[in-house]
Amino acid sequence: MKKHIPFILVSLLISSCEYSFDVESPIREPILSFKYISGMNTSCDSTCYFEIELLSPVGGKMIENNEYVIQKLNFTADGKEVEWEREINVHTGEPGTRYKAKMPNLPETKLELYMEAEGLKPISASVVIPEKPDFKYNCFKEKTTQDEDNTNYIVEVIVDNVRDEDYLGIKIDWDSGWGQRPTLYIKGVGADYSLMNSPDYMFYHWEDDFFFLIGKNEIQNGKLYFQTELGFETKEDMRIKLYRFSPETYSYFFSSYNNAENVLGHYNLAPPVFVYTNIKSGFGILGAASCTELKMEFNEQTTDQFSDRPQS
Amino acid sequence: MTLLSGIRSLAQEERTDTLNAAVLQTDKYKKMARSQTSLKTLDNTLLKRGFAMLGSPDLVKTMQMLPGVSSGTELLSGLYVRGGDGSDNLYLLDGVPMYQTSHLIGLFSSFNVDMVEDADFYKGGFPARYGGRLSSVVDVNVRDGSFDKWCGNVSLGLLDGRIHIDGPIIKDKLSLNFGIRRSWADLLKTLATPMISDKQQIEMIQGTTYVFSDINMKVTQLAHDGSKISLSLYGGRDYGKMRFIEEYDESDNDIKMHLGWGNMLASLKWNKHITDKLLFDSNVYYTSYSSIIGVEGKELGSENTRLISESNESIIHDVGCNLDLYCNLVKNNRMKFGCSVLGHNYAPARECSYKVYIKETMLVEKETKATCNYLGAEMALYMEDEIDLWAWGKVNIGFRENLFFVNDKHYNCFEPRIALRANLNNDFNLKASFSETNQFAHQLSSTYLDLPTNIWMPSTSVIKPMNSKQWVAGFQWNLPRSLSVDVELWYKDMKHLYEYQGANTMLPAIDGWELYYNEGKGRSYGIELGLEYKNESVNASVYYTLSKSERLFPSYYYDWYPDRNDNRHKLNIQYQYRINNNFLIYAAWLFHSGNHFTAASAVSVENDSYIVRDGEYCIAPNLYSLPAYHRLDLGLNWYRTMKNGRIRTLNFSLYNAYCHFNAISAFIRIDEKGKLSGRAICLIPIIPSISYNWTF
Repeated sequence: MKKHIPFILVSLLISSCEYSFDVESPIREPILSFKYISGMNTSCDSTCYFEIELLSPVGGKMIENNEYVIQKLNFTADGKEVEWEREINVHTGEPGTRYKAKMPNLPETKLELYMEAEGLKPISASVVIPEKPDFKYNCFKEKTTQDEDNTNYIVEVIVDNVRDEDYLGIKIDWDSGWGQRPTLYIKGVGADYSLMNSPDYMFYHWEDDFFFLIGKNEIQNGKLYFQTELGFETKEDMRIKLYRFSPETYSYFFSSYNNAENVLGHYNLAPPVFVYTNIKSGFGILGAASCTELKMEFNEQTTDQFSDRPQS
Repeated sequence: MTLLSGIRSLAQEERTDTLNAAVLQTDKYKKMARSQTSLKTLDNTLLKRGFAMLGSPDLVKTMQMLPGVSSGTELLSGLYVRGGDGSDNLYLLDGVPMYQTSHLIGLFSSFNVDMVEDADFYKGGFPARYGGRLSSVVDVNVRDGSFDKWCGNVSLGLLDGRIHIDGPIIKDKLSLNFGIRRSWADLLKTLATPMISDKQQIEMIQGTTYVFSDINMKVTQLAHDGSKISLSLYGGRDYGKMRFIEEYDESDNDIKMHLGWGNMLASLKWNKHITDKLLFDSNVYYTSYSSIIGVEGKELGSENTRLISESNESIIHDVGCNLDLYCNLVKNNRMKFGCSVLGHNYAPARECSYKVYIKETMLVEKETKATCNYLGAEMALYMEDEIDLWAWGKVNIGFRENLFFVNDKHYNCFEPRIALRANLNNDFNLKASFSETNQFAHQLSSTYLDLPTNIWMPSTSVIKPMNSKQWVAGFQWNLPRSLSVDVELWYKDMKHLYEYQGANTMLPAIDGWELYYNEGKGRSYGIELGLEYKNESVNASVYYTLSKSERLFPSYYYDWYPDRNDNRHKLNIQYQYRINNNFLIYAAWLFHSGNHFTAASAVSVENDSYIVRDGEYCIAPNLYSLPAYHRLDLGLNWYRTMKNGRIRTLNFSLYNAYCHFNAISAFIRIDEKGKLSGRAICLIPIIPSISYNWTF
């Protein structure tokens, strides 16, 4: 036995472990989650999809599936009813969580939601669709480049009537013919492109759509700079898309990104980050965005600096 | 020579370790005689006899055992006092503020107990002479060196070693007290290196290390006119580096990371009895804190070389002066008044550079730098007057008027302080106090860990000074048989608290940093009960705290929610028994309700299975509790007095003796039975340690 004692002691010393314990949640009953952001991923004929999901409480009355019976679902745009249709879940053949609707996406339209389901707390939310942003841009080839195959371009985006409370996002859209939408061509946003001073710099995706949220520091005097690197891609079909989000939508994206990146917070070693919700008595988001799109013209003239670009 | 009589050397103390009943009795009535609430004085003997984790006695770990204090994350030197956030404690080393108070990410505190005479720990009822922090004051007095003869001690713990000497440079006139401490775990690396043959591994091991060290020195001179001049110096530093070498087909990567942080303190104190009833005290000091964290990366490709480097630095320089006058001119009336001026310079900086070479030609070079520089001045005027109310008791009325200037903004904060004691009889008194405090320095921290990524910044036009108001009421009762009971109720109200919200980076922003903080408020209240027993050989205490601590950050949640360190119940039982001149045993059992954590309140259900999306379905912060925390610490001191009078002490200790798994964190998961439950993460459950101390 004696010879095992050092081994046991060392094992105890170096071991870290996990164990289960019961948790008490403040939510004891199932709860609804609603997700829809107007202006994102909307097809040409204004058909859109939103999702209403039934969630199970942690530590409370668990549910076995996410089926629920709607008693009332009012979705209005400026007070007018929006037509919706609940889709069937292909796996179960039962009514699913996805809804199809014809939704107008006109600036300053107020969208309102009210829903009651059997045995559940009613949920409600509202949002106003923001104005489309107006912008122009200048694009120049950068003098220095990392390798022979790729070319760096610096893009100066000038946003008209930018306000302090503006919440913007940007992407370069490109239909490669392979179904890809490579926003990744934005390498860095900001005065120095390095983003080192911008903890709110983020790359976010909503369903299949990818874009950058523009941080509070990134836009100065109505101007935003970013760098893009192009290689074999055709420059013909590239477009700059500038989004203006409602404050709720920006908060949702901002907090979602921070939450995903908050690794230490998940281990309780950093302040927590919650995903914002504006759904009363529920979770999720009823958001809105407006987008302006311009075709990208590449100027092959080289430059290192824009004259009034803020210096870091 | 009156000052000399009060100076005791360490050796003398060790040799006269047997506690004297008369001294205990005097201590008891001294406590009864003062109007101060929420004060605990920890003397050197108490600190050295207490539990020594990893063989090293620790001031902050001793304070963690006291009622009203939460320790936060297991093993670390967190001090969350009455609902505070840990960065709101004023640590003073010989009257000089100290910013960084721990080594090794919080495992050890920065105070070398060999140097400490005593430490006054205020949790409330702050005297007017203290200001600048919300939750507590830890006033550590460094011992004057012996004016009589040279003595010292050498200690070797599990991770660190200490050397301490003190004695007269000029007998009865000039003394020196000197202590140095250093971790020695890095020496193991030197021993391990010859056993490794792989060159790459040797380079990685040689490029990886961690060291902490601190050095204290105090020179004291006694003048013929009864005045005393002392010069104190302190320097403490943590340094670590890591190196990673990776080889791939296309390129080789060599990444070096280094981090370091620490304090430098210097003070010159002069005090003089102008008359029997008038004492003048002055202190001129300098304190600085610096932290650096940097990364250098080199990618060697077949044709090109990329060099990336990033350096983040935070530096604070403070220069200050305190002038105090203590007078007892009017009967039954003791006044203290004074002023302090403190100049701050906060200068965090971040630099990045990126270079690409093809062969030896530089193709790309980008350098970016972000800095900010704040110059601030903190001025305070204070007055406190303790008035005897005949036989009924005492009242201490005071105020502190603060002026804080930073760049183009200034704040004027008036802080009333009042304390009252009513004697019902010789052994029972009632006490109450009110104090308001403001804090003009904010620790910007993206984690709860004590890392060099933490940055201190001043209040600005956007970030307001933190403010706290605390009410305390209680009683003290001396029972027969050397028992004493101390009960305190408190209520604390805090506003302008800040939490970092840019959680996608370890390094807080420098440019526009004010934008990334949410403002909120806090409140805490509770009751603390203390039962103490002391005699010549036994020192026992039972402390219980029932408390509630909450936060309100509207940007997170519309309502009050529990603070992370809101421990509803805390019970601590300590027992020390001096068996004989050779053996002292120690046991402490600590219990508290679990810390709080944040996790999803609801989960998705897809295809008959549950999917946890952390954060997405969180209703509010800190709504869940970790399992209750408890542990038993055991210790044994074996003293051996040699023929020449020198003492050797061998200390054995066992942290968490019954190996209870105390959670440091938790998350929500589906267990084996398909039930949603919490999963607790635990670290090292039991830590045996040994240390050796030689006193000469």
